[in-house]
Amino acid sequence: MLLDVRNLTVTLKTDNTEVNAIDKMSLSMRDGTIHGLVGESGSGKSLFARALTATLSEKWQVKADRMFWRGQDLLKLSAEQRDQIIHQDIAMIFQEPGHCLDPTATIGEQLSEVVPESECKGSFWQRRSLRTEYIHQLLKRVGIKRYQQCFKSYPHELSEGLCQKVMIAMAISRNPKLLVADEPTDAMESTTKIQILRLLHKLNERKDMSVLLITHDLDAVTQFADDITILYSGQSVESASTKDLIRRPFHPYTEVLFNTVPRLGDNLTPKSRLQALPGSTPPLQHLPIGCRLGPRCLRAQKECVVTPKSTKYKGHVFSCHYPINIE
Amino acid sequence: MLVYLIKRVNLLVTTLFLLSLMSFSLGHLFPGDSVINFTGQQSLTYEEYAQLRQDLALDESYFMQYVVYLERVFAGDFGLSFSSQSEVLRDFMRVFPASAELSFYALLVTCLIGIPLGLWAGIKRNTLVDKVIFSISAIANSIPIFWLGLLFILLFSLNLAWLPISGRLNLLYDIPYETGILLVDIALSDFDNKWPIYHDALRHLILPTLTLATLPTTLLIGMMRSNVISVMNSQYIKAARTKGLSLYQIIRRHVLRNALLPIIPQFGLLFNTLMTSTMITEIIFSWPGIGHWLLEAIYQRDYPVIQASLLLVSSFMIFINVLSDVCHTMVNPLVRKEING
Ligand SMILES: Nc1ncnc2c1ncn2[C@@H]1O[C@H](COP(=O)(O)OP(=O)(O)OP(=O)(O)O)[C@@H](O)[C@H]1O
Ligand code: SF4
Ligand SMILES: [Mg+2]
Repeated sequence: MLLDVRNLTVTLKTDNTEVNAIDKMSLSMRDGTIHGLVGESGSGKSLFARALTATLSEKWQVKADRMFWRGQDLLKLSAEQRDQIIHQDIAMIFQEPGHCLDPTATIGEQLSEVVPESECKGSFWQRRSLRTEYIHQLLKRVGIKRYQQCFKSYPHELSEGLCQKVMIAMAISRNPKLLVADEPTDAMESTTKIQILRLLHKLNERKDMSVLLITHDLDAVTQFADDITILYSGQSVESASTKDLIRRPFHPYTEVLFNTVPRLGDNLTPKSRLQALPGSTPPLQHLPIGCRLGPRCLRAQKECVVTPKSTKYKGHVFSCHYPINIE
Repeated sequence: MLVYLIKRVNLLVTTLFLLSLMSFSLGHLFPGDSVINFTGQQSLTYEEYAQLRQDLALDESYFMQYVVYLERVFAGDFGLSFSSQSEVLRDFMRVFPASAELSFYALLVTCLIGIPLGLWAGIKRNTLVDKVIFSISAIANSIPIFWLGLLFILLFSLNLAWLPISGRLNLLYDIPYETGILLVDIALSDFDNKWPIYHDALRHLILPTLTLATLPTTLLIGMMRSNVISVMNSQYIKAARTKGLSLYQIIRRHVLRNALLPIIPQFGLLFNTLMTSTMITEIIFSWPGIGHWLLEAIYQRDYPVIQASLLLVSSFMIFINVLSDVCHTMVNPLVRKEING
């Protein structure tokens, strides 16, 4: 098990109230897989990524029964130890890659500062050329053909897709065990989108690097992810392998979700946001008690005001009082 | 890029043209005879007067007069000073280095204090450090410069007697005039023991430099602070943090450059304040520079000097402004993009 998070609760503390933006969420990732984390906008996907990489500000409080990273509980370590592990093993890429690169430095300069020292030993001049060579290799590996030109370019001279590839190159330069991709293809053209996703897929195959793919693009996850965890309003809904999840969802939310996956030929407006049920995700100020899906759930009953426990059944983990598809 | 340069040069030329027009018309607008105003020669015989009048084309159209005036300007002939009866340009060249020297040191102090403090305040935003720096710079910003100069004199020269009140150098030392830049002149002079002279020159420099540097420093701190804050909040700094760079590395590699680049074009503005302040400071500390010279000229109604220094000083300022703008374009890739794209 690469990552095993149990009952993660992330609390937003303001002067007089406390809100659990993520409530008892669980997620476990197998080594070397692509794991999709899916949910509507505002369901706390980015929050989870930031809690994992310990980049949340002070007003957020992170608690969990366990947060195992390759057998080590991250929450039990000191801040420095945890930062060291995270910086060594976990890399992250974001949406809008163009904004994530320093606009006044060339790609080469920015890449050279993340090249690990161990990759370039030797005298001062040797180090320099070794470093350049290493960066060229990196750029080639992420599928940039004109890497020499790219090396000398400024971020604004590159397209979004190229910027994202550069970000990926930057992320994999440290040979991380896990790459957290927070909506890496948001607002990109579909060809670029597929290019980026293929690249992630390829990197995942060739090296033993796992990918946590955070997105609301169901098409992409079902195509590329091995396992999927579905999040609703900060609560984990269901997680299982992609195949199982599509073939036989146990949670009512999962079913509606996959029924709305646009099929080929369906004339859905492109880039429309994930919209499974009538209504919208509750804002943090008005979270329903118990199962947060309650007000929108078609199967909801009295019991649902109590938060359902997560249940393991046939390789699925789900949280619902009245699951479907169970004989 | 070429188009941009042409545009800038065009701006420069246009402004200089307007300035020269103004300077030219002053020759007629000043009270007195325009021949005397233009040449500065006061004791003329009738023949000399008629000759000059013809040379200056004063009987012809204003356009021809202006052309002649321009020719003289380009030849460096600004006439004679009423009071000293020496060439205005020579006088200008004699006093200009002193002002330039003082401004340069003040600018140096401004950068040395303003950039680090602004950076520090921006990074430690909303902490005690930030508040202290910000309040001090707000106070310093609101103190009138002549009052500050007098306060310094009162405190450090009169009460504490640490530093000299005025001038550039103790009169004991007679440094021959070479470049006009005192510290260079001392180096060029053939005195045996130069250290006491340096010491004395620096002691004379401290108060004027500090007085002069105060206002630009506060401005620079303000600009730097707000730039640093906006850079620190940008996405790429957050992304850089997840790359595992330390705060120090992030500041050195990303924050500093991104915060400094937008300040470069502001340097022209800073320089304008600096120039005005220099004049005031020179009066307070009896510093023999442009400001001193110009004010003296105004008191004595030395029209050729007023006319010439107006043209020269403002041309210089405009030149610096355009230069800082062009420099900014050269070094900032983002601006280059806007121009090319
Ligand atoms: N800085 C913040 N202060 C207060 N609330 C926040 C903050 N950041 C996020 N939230 C809230 O936390 C919840 C989860 O946000 P998060 O960004 O994790 O959503 P997301 O699933 O990533 O959505 P999206 O798909 O739009 O990126 C949202 O309800 C949001 O309003
Ligand atoms: S627990 Fe109740 S409200 Fe929640 S999903 Fe299941 S049936 Fe619906
Ligand atoms: Mg998000």
